[in-house]
Amino acid sequence: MLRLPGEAESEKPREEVEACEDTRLLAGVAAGDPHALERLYQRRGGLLHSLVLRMLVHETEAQETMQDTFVQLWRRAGGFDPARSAPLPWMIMIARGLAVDRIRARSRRSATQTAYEQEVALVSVESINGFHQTDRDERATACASALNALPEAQGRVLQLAFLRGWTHEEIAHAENEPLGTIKARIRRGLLALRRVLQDHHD
Amino acid sequence: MTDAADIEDQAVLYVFGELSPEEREAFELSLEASPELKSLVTDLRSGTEALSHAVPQQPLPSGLWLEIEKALANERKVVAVSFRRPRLWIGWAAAACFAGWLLHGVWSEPPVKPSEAAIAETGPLNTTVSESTALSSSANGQSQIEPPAHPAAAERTASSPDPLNARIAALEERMTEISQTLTQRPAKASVGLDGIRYFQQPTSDGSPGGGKLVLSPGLQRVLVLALARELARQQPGGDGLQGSQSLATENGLGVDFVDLVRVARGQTSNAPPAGLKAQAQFAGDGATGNERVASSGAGGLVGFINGDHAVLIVDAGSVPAGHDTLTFIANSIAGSATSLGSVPFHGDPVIVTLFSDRVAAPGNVLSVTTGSRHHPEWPAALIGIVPTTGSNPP
Repeated sequence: MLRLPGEAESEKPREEVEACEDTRLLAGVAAGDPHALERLYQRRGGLLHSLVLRMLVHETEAQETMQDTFVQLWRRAGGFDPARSAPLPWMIMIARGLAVDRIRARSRRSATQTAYEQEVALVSVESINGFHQTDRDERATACASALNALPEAQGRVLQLAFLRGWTHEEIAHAENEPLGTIKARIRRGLLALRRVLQDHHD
Repeated sequence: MTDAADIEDQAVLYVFGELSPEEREAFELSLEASPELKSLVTDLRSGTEALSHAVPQQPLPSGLWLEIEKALANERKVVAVSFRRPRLWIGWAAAACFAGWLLHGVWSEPPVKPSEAAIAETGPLNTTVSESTALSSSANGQSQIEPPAHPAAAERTASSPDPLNARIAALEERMTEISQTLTQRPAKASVGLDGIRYFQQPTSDGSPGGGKLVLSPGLQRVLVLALARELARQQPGGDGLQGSQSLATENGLGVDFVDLVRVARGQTSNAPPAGLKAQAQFAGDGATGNERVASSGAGGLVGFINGDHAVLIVDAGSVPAGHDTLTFIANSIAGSATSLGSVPFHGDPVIVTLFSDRVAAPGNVLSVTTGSRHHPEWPAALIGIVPTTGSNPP
C-alpha cells in the first residue's frame, strides 16, 4: 500500500541506518581516509556504476566516469552537508552530472524525431527478471516496477531528463507538449517514485 | 503558471544540478526560508535515488577500483604540503618537460670524459654502479665531481642572454653532474649541491657501500626526475608557495608523485594518517625489530635527503610481488616509531617526498616497509632503512 508523504514512521528505517553509515564514511573521506572511500565504493559503487553505464551505454566510458566520480567524491566530501542532502542522492547526482557532461559533449544533440526515437529506445526499461531476491534487489525491483507503472509519457520524459540529460525544453519540443506539462510530469514522476522507496523502507 | 509552480519546477532543476550559479544561489535562499520547499527538494532527491535503483543492476567490473586508485594517486597528497623555500621560477610541468629533454640530452649524448670510458663501454642505460668506480676522490674521501658542461647547454648559455634560458642551461649542467654522480658513485655519496645528499641503500647481501649496486635505467630516469623537481623547488625568487595548490603531481611521465605530510617533532607517534594506524604501527614495530617483518631481497632503495625532507624512489624492483602499499616510518634513536604515512603502490615508479622534522634529527632513520591490503596476514617487508642527515657521513 502506498503511503502519503508525511505519514508517521513507526521505527527507524533501514535506509536511514545506511545513510548514517554513508555519512560516516564521507566524513572519513573528507578527513583523508582512503579506506573510507574504498568502503563507499564497495557499498555504493554497484549502484553508481549501473547508473552511469545505463546513461552512457559504453562500458569504457562508464568506467572512466566512475573514476571521475570517485575523484570528485574524494575532493568534495568535505563539502557534503548531511543537513542539506542525504548522502546517496548526493553521490548519485555527482555521478549523474559527470555522465550527463559526457553525453552532452559527444555531439550537439539535434532534437529530430529520429534522434528522439533513438533516445526513447535507449531508456526503455529493461526486464528485471533474474534479480536475486536479496533485500537490495527487492528494493530495485520495487523501484523498477514503480517506474514501469508510471503513465507511459511520464516515465519516458522522466528517463529522458534524468538518464539522457535532455533539457525540459528539448523534451517539450520533441514531445510537442507545453513546457509546463513536461516539467510537471518530471516532478510528479520523481515524487511517485519517492513514495515507492519510502514504502519499501517502511 | 503560478509562482508556486515556478519554484517547484526550479526545485527539479536544482536537484538535477542544472540551475545557473545565480539561480542556484537565489533558490538556496528560498530553500532556507521555506521548510515546505526543503521538504520538496528532499522528496525529489529521494525520487532520483529510486530512479537510480530502478536501473538494471550490473556487476562492478573487476579491476575498476584499482583504476580509481590510480586516478586518485594524484589526489592523495596525504595532506597539504608547505614549502619553506620560495616557489620557483619554473613549475613542475616545465621541470618535467625539461627533465625529459635533459634525459635525452644526458643519456643519448653522454659528456665525454676519459674517466667515463668504462661506463661508455656498457652504455649509460645499462649501468652497474659501485663505490669502486668513483671518478675521483679528494683527500678527505669525498667525491669531487667536476661537472662537464653539456654541449647543448653551453651553446644555449652562450647564445642566449635570456635569463630563463640561462637558468635552464645552468640547471642542465647540474643535472648532468648529478647523473654522472649517480651513475658512478651513488652509494652513500655525499655531494655538495644545494645541500642535497644522496644515498642508495646497499643490497641486502652486500656490505654497506661495497656491494655491486644496479641502478636500472628506469630507476635512473625516475631519480633524475625527482632531482629535477627538487632543484626546481629551490630556485630563488618568487613569492613562495604555501599550501598544496598546483603541487607537482603531474603523472604524465608514468611516475607517481606523492607528498606526505610534514610531521613536526614532538607530535604523537601514534598519529599516522587516518585509516593507516594499524598498518603503520605494525610496520613501525617491524622497523624496530619485530620478527614478523621480513627483509626483502630487493636491490636497494634510492633517493636523497635535502634539509628536513627526504625523497624516496621506489619501483617494482624494490617491492615484493603482491605488495601494494608503501609505509614510511621515522625511527628515533630512542626507539620510538612514527608513521609518516602510507601510499598505494601499483607498480609504477613512485617518488615520495617526506616532509618531517624527524628527517633532520641526529641518529634517526627512516624505514620503508611494504604490505598488502588484500592480504593483511602477509608480513610486512622492510625494503629499506635510510639514515637521516644526522647519521650520514658528512
